[in-house]
Amino acid sequence: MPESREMTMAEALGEALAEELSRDPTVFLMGEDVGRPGGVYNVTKGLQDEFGEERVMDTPISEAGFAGVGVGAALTGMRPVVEIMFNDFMGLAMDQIVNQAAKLRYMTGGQAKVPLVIRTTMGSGRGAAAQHSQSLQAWVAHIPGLKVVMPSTPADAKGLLKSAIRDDNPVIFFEDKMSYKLTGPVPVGEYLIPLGLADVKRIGDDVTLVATSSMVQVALAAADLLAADGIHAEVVDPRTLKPLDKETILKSVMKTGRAVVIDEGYLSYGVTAEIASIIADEAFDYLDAPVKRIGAADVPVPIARPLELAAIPDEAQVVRAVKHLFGPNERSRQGSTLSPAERG
Amino acid sequence: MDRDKDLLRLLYRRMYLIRRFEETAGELYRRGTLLGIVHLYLGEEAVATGVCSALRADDYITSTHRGHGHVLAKGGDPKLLLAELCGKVTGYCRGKGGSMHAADLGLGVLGANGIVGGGFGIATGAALSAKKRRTGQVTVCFFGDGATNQGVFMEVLNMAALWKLPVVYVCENNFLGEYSRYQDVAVTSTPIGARAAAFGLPTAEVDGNDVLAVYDAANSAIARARAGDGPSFIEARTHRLTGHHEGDVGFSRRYRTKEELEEQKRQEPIGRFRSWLLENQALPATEIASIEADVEGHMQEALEFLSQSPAPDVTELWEHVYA
Amino acid sequence: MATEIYMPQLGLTMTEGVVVRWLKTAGQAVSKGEPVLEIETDKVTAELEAPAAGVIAPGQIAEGTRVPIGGVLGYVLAAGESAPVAIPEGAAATGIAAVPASLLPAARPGSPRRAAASPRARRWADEHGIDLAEVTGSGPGGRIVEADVRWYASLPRTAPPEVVRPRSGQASPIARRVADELGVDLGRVQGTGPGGRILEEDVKRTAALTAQAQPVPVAAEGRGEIPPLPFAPGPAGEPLTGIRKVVAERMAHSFATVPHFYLSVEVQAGALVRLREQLLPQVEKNAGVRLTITDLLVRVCAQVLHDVPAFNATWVEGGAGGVLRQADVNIGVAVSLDNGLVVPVIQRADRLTLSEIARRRADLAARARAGKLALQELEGGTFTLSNLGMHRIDSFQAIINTPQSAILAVGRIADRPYVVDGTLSVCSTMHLTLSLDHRLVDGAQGALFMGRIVELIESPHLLLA
Repeated sequence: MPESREMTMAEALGEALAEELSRDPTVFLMGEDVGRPGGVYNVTKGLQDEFGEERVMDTPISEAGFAGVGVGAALTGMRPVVEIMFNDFMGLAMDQIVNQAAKLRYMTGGQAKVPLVIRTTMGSGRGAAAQHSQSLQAWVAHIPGLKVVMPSTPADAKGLLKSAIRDDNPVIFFEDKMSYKLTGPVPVGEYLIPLGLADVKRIGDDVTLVATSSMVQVALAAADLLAADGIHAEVVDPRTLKPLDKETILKSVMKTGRAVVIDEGYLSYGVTAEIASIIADEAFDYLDAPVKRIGAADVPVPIARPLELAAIPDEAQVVRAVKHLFGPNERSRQGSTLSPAERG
Repeated sequence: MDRDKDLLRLLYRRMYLIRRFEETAGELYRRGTLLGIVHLYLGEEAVATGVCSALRADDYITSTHRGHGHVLAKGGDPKLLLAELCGKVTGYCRGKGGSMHAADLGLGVLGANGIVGGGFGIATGAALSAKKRRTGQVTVCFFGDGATNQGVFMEVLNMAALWKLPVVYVCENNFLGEYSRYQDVAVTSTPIGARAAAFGLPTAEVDGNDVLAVYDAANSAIARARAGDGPSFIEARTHRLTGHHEGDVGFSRRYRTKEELEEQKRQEPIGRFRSWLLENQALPATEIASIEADVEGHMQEALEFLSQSPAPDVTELWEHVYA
Repeated sequence: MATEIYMPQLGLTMTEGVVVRWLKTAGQAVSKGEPVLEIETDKVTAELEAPAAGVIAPGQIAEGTRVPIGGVLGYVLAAGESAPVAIPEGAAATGIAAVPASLLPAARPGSPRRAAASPRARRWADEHGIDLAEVTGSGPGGRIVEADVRWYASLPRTAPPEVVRPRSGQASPIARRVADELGVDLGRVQGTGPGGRILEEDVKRTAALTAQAQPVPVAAEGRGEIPPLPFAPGPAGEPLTGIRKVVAERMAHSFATVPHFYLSVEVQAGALVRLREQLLPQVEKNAGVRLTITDLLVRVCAQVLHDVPAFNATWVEGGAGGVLRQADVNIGVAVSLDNGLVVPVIQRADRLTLSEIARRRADLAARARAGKLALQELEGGTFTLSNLGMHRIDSFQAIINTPQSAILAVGRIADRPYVVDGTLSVCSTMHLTLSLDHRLVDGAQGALFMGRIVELIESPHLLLA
């Protein structure tokens, strides 16, 4: 068993960046406040000191401009890691991301390669209000040619960021801002987590909770509450939205017969709709109940605390949704005999 | 001033090739062989030719939706370009990009672009990349007057100046943005170059229909970039002798009168250069004729190549989405 | 309240049917079950029966009308009743959305209820030949879920002496009429309609076959009534109640109806015993319980049943009877209580680690003794293990827990004389006896199965491969 140490998500990401900067001279970072200030969430702290201004560049507030510069640099032999401070600002750079980065390889018949990583933050919960609290992963997951990654733990974050940087495609890497302080074990030494591979974070056999990013913690908390009521939830973390590991998700639902999909994007026309419809389509005959979705309320995120909390999914909401999938005296609700240790 | 004869031959050949290529493309469009929208470079040949002839083979350019001229001026192969315009698998982009996305990465042509201003970021990024890799490569960013009103133009000027990037921004000002005259949609009390000068870039205004003037201006700017002295801006004034795109006949009268068009045709660059060559006895008429014949030969070859080229197999639909 | 005659779903892909011909007209009297009209789908023509006795109401849907599933076609009125509303022509003819909600069956108390079942439940029912009409749902809103169908399937069936006549849900009216005419026993007919529904062509096919072949008495034989006990409990005898009663009935049924045969072996238990010693601390750590030989045997049996899925099967009563392969390996472990025997089931044992098996076995046994097992936990078994080794029993033959196909009886591990390479020595051995249902498996197959069990017991390291 490899040794591991407790780290925060921010530290794990910083370590990934440092390691890749060391390993590959074509890797460099760009973004607002990433250099001298060390990043608004301290992810890139110390990196400019260690690697210099050429490798860790502070940009002006020009999302379209520096995202485009990232594309051009990636097209010509470099591996830029560009930070867009809040994913709400992606709109300013959408042409570069959607019309240029995503499509250059295809439009040039395979001549071009764009190994660009765009790191950006998402998620609400800290009163940042409507234009700094969105989770817009659905926007980019919709576009062919892009890869989309959403880690939920420090260990996953490090392994996935390293893989993203080494991937030859444009990767949009979403970091939940409330999770930067989340701690967890991170293995010592070099390791990579491949893109496109989901992770079962908790084993259970009564219902599958598919959850992304910080919603994984919400799902796990809900699973604890449900277990006390004799419902044992399995939590599946896709980790990468594009390409999506359908197999792991479907295998879980074929076992449990029920699914709830949880994502912090707005409920309508988003990630949950995509995953839920895949389940309903490909695991139809294994479903004992309709597939349910939980997302952020279809409203701009408000600042007042009780309103903000009401807008984003929480464990009580998940528990309610799961319970509605079962009849009051349903035979499926048996006392599972899995011990907490077995459930992992 | 004595000019290198090889350079003069190259300049004439390239302009003539672009002219004949675009005329051929127009013809194919009218016959229905060409796919999609094409924006022809007729009348602007001197700009692409003058600039690209001052570049190394490994220098980069980004182009526009009106990009055939740039591709050919950078040394691109008319066969592969024509096949691409017609969606053949033998084309530059295996028939998947078409006119607006033609590219030859091997020649440093980082692509025509369907988004006005789409090349700004890419060119500036390529320049940043060249600087980091210390290769001495220079990047030229071609764009029209219309693109100078995109916000991202200002963003890249700031960064290029700040980081002293080896990039030359070449504005092909043909005084028209699609169907609108430049003066109707933009401030003209200051020249376009003033926008670049605001960030400290050295700027130049040239007659875009004088290929030697363009070449000289480009040469200085490129040398400056290669020496590590940062970006420059060139405004090359010219005219496009066609519509915005082929087939838009209904619109042309709205922004240009017949008389204006006739006058612009008289100023077209190839005729002017030919006259200059003959008057200054720089190249004999026979040699000019033989260059032209050679170009015709290449165009014939391109048409034959086209007629033998198939469309891509439908299985290619799924290829090249990801590396 | 008037009783609706409505367009039923007769096929999985059916969305609507056409009214072909009314066999009864308005004002005519009908008895329940009497055919009243003919309808047609793109696959089949069928007769619909009167859902109740009474008189056909006026205003029936016209012949030739296309009606979606659930659409009302007419009413049967009892004395004093009147038809609720005239059936809107537009509603029936134009499509499901046009049918007013008030006319749909679910809203009317008098109308026959169609079971809402989940896709998972339907699939399970299809695979196991269960008629969903027989199953009650415990899901939200009374939805039938897989667990409900499994539970229903695991109930023991006591067969009546004569061959079962399928209830109306299982054969179409035409099929029944044709069966009557041709003298075909519907109990022998294999239905090919959805959910095993018997159609006219199925009856005709069976008639043709039966004319050629000897009637096979398999289904009927051995399915007699439970023979009466030679003596009834008299004043001195206690009537059986509760769990004892159920056990008694099941045992008697099994013994009487299942043709048992037995395969016995003596296996060397040394490797298994040593393995247990070695694993004790780890299992204690993983699961907090003490590993037993039974746990190891469950693991072995789970592996063999996984590898030889033909043995993971149950016997299905009803119709012509038959073998039903089960997807999950669910092993029952016999636990003896003061008031009788229970066999809680370790579900999907082939997917559990040894520690998980031990944990479950211990938990199930503890709760069995405390009387706290859920009904669920006694269901769905495909194989049973019974270990009397702790009771000084060398070997025994167990009675199969129907509808399973086998049960393994395990005796005590003891040092016994054993011949190894021609020399008499003393070895730790264990007797195993496998009881098998001869309808499902023959001697050679059983021997192969037993051989595999022996191999894994004597060389347990093979479990890793």
